[in-house]
Amino acid sequence: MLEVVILTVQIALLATAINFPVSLIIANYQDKLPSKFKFILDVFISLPLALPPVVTGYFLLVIFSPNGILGNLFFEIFGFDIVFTWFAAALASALVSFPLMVRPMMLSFSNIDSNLINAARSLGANKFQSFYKIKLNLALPGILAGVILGFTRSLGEFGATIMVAGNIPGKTQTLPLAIYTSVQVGDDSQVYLLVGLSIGLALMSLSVYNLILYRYKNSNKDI
Amino acid sequence: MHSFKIKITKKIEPFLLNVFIESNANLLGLYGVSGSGKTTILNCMSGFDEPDDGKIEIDNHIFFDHANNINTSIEKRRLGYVSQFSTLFPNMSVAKNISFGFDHTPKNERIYSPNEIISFFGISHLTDRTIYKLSGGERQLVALARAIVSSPKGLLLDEPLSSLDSKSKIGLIRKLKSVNRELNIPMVYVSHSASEIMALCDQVSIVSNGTVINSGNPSIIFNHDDLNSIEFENFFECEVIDSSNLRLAHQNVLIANKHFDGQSHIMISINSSDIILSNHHPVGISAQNIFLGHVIDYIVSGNNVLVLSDVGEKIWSKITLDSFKRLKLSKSTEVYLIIKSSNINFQN
Repeated sequence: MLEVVILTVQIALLATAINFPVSLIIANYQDKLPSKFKFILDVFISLPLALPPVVTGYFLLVIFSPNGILGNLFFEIFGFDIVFTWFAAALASALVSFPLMVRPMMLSFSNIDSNLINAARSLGANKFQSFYKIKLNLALPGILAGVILGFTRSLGEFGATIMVAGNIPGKTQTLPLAIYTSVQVGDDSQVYLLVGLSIGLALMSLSVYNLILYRYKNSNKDI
Repeated sequence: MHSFKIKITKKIEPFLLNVFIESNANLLGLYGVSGSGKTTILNCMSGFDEPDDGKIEIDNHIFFDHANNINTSIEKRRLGYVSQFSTLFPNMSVAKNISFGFDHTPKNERIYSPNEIISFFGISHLTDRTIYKLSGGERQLVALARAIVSSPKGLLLDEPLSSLDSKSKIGLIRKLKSVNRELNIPMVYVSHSASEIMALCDQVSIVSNGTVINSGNPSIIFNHDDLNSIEFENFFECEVIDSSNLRLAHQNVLIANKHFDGQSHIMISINSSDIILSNHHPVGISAQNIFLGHVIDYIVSGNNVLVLSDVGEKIWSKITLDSFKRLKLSKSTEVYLIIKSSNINFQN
């Protein structure tokens, strides 16, 4: 049981770690893109939301299978197959949860008045200083929202994961997959326990988010 | 006196911005209607925009020179920028906003400390506040203080008064005048208000459709198109005598009883439409301020005439063409200016 929880959290954390820098870069540079490219980017970013996760998983399976373009490359570099590993589950979770992480960040960054950044630079701050002292700080609620939404979505990922990582106990079986298996075999007490754990993990993530947001708002109120 | 050499060519829709300004001024004004290109000039000076060609130089500091491939980065130009929109950082207190510029100024270039400037602007009571708890006028004062604490090589002011009420406007004009006079910082002031330009600037360039159509002393350069359409406001700095008397250029100004908190000088404004002209000394009227002066210029436009009189200070009055003819006014004519105490506006 504990093994399932640890694996689920481990996969969700890796998926979040993969998505975070990519989301931050896209959110920060979105306004510098020509509007046509921004439109195309928006469509591609949202695609995993519109597609059934099973379809997303199928694409990953094709690409990362030993004969797939990236699977082959991965084998050449690291010497093992990525499919049906916990890393594949993390990739599937990352792809499915990506829109949920990047969109709040994009919204948050696009709401920052560019005059504030110009003002910071006219006061002597260089590009990096104005980014982390002003932009990053002002976008923090959106960044947090993106990270927590992405993380919680990763905790619950099922369709894409089962396609590309399978449902191997102790190796790729996450909480949702374990619930599915327990329902299939009719083990009700196991189902209740797993569902309870799932709800507990989601509540814990959202509480952490609300706590950080509350502290952030309060610290701004006190200054 | 500071030297400004601004030569900018830049393609902006719907015209080509092509300006050349060479001026020796304490405070240089850029005047023009919205969309004339004046803000783009300021953006090119600050480094927010890059000109296609040209050269930008203030007091021998070259910030941009296309021919010699010089384009100093925004942070190295050290040109303080205050716009009509609040650019105070919402994630910082007033004190932190003000020290931001100081913290990012190289130690050997620091001239003013945050405390000195906070005291100069008289805003120590605001320092612990968030920017959400400031009025529009206070925000602009803090933005100005923040820009000055960064020890700038110049100040670029993009219509900083346009969103303020008249009382805050009068207060900020006074502060801008004292910054210019006491701190000796070169300043460029952009506005579409002839009143503000005349109150603040000793030189002005009029920008229209991306080119400079006229430059010179504001009181000479403005024509009837610039002045007729507006409610022209006269701004003056007066010496405080007591709670009901001010001194303006050797004239005593009677005001409604007001407490000045130990201030020795105060900024006032009088709208040109609130001044009555007479060619005889009026008797038996309620208005308490009657100043004798003479007409030095007038601008006729439509049914109105803006009359510039000298009573020790130059004052614009707006009267109808009928009244102007009836009073038989012309240049050098003696004239009495009548102003009700209640029509004298004060800073906050």
